[in-house]
Amino acid sequence: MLGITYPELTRFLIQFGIAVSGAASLWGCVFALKSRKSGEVIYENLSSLLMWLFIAGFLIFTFNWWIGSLFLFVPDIFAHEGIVVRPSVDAVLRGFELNMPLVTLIMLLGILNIHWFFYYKELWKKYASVLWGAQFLLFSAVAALSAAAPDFLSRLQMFFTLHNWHSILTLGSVITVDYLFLATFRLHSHKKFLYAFFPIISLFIWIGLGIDFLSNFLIFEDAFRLDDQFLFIQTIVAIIIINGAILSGRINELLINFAELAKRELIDPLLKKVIAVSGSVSIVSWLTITFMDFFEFSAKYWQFWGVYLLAVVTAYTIHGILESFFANGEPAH
Amino acid sequence: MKELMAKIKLSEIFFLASGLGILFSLPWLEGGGFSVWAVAKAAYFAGVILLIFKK
Repeated sequence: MLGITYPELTRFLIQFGIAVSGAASLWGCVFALKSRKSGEVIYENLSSLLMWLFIAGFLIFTFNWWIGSLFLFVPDIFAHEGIVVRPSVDAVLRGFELNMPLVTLIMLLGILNIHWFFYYKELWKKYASVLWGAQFLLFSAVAALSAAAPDFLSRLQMFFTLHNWHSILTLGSVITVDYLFLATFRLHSHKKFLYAFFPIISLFIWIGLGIDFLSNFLIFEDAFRLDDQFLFIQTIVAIIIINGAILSGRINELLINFAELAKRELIDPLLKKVIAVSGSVSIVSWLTITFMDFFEFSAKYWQFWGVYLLAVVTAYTIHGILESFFANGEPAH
Repeated sequence: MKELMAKIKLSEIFFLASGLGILFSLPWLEGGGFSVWAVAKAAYFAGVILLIFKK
């Protein structure tokens, strides 16, 4: 039932690191550009806040990429449809080979970005959009080339490229939203600006899932396999879509209204719970389908459900603890 | 809570149809039928296009 092995776990963590640091770079770049255009210092602060998320993703990615490159393995790659594609040893080797200079560049640029952020803040502010933008492009390239088919124009290569890249838009952006939501919990002056961005980030998440659907159509005919894992992943995809359709858009609108009216205290306690449940379902669902990409489980459908529900309850509890933690004390403005 | 029920967008209807379509197509998938599933996926793309055009 538990088909988790260390090499596959390493590969998942590489993908997780790419998603988190790639999304932090993308939205860091957007906020830095917005700050330059509008002259509003709050956008610059939001860009700065993303540095901590970037550092976390950057460390997870670099550590695991080097572990992975030194202890090469060839796991199955699953799409979010539960469709299996087995990359050849050559494809994975080529991926690591092609990515070696890119990962070296990412490390140099990442260290420069972090160094300037802590020791040359004015210089960092001046070039933040360039640094974030370059990092986003590099992480995108690494994601796209992490498995390289012999024919670069083949459907298989298109699948690898789109499937690995979309995590930046989906999983990474979902984590970015949750992180910024909590990080600005007491920064009331930031909320109006941040929440106004949530619909844009949501749009990118929807587009990201669409990219994954497209990538799956490319290999569907050759790689489709119907089992409990496939059916469960399909269920989770449906939950993500329904949760997003019913709640995300409305919650975004309500948050914007509350932030503009500065009347957070008027939020209905039941509504606060709905927001927490929706957020927990969203992040656990994205983590679930990304995690299950890398493993082959022999569990039954209901067993997957058991673990998933336990994870949602855990996420909801952690959210409550973090919310209490961030809500304590005077507003930082 | 009332605000959550207000103002349903067209894109949300398509997304909802897509999600429910995927969910209810699972028994058919087990029987080898893909049409409901494929329509649900098509509804998803329609939802994304509508969202881009702010509908």
